[in-house]
Amino acid sequence: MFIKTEKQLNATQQKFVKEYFDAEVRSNIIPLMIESIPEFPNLRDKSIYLAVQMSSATNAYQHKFAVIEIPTRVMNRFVILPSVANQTQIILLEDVIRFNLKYIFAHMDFDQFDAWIFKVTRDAEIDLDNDVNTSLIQKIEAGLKKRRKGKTVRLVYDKEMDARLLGYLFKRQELISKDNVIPGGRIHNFRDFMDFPNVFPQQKSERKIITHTAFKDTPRVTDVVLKKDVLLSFPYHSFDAVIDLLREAAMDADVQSIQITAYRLASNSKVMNALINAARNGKQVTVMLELRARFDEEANLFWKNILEEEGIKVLLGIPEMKVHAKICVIKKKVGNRSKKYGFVSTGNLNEKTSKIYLDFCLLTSNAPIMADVERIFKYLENHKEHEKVINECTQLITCPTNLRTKITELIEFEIKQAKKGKHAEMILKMNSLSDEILIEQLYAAAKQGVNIKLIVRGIFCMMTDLPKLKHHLQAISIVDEYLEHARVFEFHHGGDEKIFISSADWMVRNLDHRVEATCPINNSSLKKELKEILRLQWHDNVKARVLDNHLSNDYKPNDGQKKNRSQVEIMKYLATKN
Amino acid sequence: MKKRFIVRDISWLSFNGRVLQEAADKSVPLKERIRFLGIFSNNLDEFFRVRVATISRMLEFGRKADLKMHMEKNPKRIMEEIHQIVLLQQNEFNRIWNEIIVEMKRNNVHQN
Repeated sequence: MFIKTEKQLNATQQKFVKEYFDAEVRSNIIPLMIESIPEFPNLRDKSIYLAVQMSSATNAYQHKFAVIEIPTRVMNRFVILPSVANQTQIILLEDVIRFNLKYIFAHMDFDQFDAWIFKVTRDAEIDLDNDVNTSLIQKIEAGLKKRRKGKTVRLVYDKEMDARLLGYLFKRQELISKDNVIPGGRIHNFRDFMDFPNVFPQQKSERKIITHTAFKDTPRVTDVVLKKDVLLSFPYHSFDAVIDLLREAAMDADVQSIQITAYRLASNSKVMNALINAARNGKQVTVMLELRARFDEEANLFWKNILEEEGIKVLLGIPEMKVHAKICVIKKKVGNRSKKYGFVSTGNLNEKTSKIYLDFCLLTSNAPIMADVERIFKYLENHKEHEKVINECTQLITCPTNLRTKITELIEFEIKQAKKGKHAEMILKMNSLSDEILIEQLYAAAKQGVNIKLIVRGIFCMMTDLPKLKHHLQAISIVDEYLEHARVFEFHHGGDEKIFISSADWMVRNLDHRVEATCPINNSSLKKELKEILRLQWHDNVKARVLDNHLSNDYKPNDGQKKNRSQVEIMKYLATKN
Repeated sequence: MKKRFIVRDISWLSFNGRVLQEAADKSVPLKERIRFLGIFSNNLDEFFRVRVATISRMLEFGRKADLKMHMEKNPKRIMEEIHQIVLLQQNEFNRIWNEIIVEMKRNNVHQN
């Protein structure tokens, strides 16, 4: 497989690139003659641009600059070239344009065209993350209002770029800091490479989707969930069970209402489709749609309009507080009583990301849990009037406020146990751990001899090698093919183990500035399953990195032991349950 | 008092470094390695859009105010450290990409 540049093409390929440009590309590009524009155009974040220099062999002093946006928003970045059999040759869209520069600017009096890629990154100005103190946030926000939107934070460019041209671009960009002008290679926006064409020989993947054993012999998910709790482990189990649960509710004459939260949805969301059909079938549907989900604001605004047109009640949540809990409650008439069922999940209601994100979803008709889910919706509908309602939850632990208190209690219990010389242990899995208060509590617990095992994928602000903590505090991070996304908290609790699945990371923003739900797993066989999965993750010796004070990211040594790649082993473990 | 915390943004960059490790891992299929480069690059863009932008604003507005960046009193120092790490990672990124290009060519030969 080769990636060819515009200078490496054979005659056939040259002809192809010219024709392809004329047929597909030309109508999508509009060169900007930047020297004749008084105000520098607002360059789009996430796009790449060609900075073009036109010059003439006969007159070295004469030159002109232009800027062309590479139309990757509407076209594929990768163009497959005609080539001999058994070979795959690819040219990047920017090189297709480079090849055609002499035609694009044919009307101008130049004979030499050079072009280099650059891109800008803009201040997103949407989320201050609440991880700084509030008065500061207010200060900055006040300052922000006076400012133009989306100042350039970074300019990256091909380091081969002509110095005169670079100087010109730099002069015309209002940058926050000079340090953020970063030289790079020839190719930028590697984000597009996530969709690199699949030109590789097919590899047999060990990974496959398992049908959850609970649904093997029954056509209806609802019938199972009404009888017992089911724990889905994505991406090993198919997300279809969740969609089916909603579809069945949409068609069920006895279902009266569906309440659900939505944070990040798939582009043609089957979840939303099911809800729309439920509304059409006369069900009362309420969707808590978080409009402030970072980078999904636009998509969610789009859904808001569609849902409202269908007569669905759209809740927008609480000012200053994102709703991150992933919950659903369906109300159904059974005889002359009403029965509630639904789910609590660690992952988004997104059938696409559920294929690559590791998450847990508890499908349940447990009455106390469902009553709590209803309480959260009551709070979301009118947080001023029902401020106290979420504090009445008996099973779910909610954020803001309650999760922090509960964790503190559970940690203190472990400390007491350790002080009595009894076994005290916790295994905590999350995406980010940065909350100073909880970190101090964990330090204190480790000091007292509580064994703390942390599995943290992303941000991790603890220092595991502080004096006196040795051996009691260990932390790893698993980064592998699937994205680790589940939050699971396990406390030994004197043998009466407590285990929870949660939507919340241990960060100030999640604990104090978001609505989150943490759900205890009480069923003993599900508890066992979760514990086994955690155990496999903790003992990963292929993709686990040890988190130390020096951020060295060393892979966990496997010490001659059997290889345990947890993302594969979990699949094997779940497959044995069938 | 001794340092008890790792600065959040520095720790985040270390996470993205783990993503880069996956791209560098020769036991990972080429397609996946390229995908990890894409994820790394996308992550870093978002990091600049949100975190670096925030710190830049702090530097600009909060010169006199008693700034307390998350677990760190000195946003200027964080910014410098970010730049150092980003530059090192960028070099590693280029090294990996060049290695992948060679691998892809070799793949083609083997197919014939």
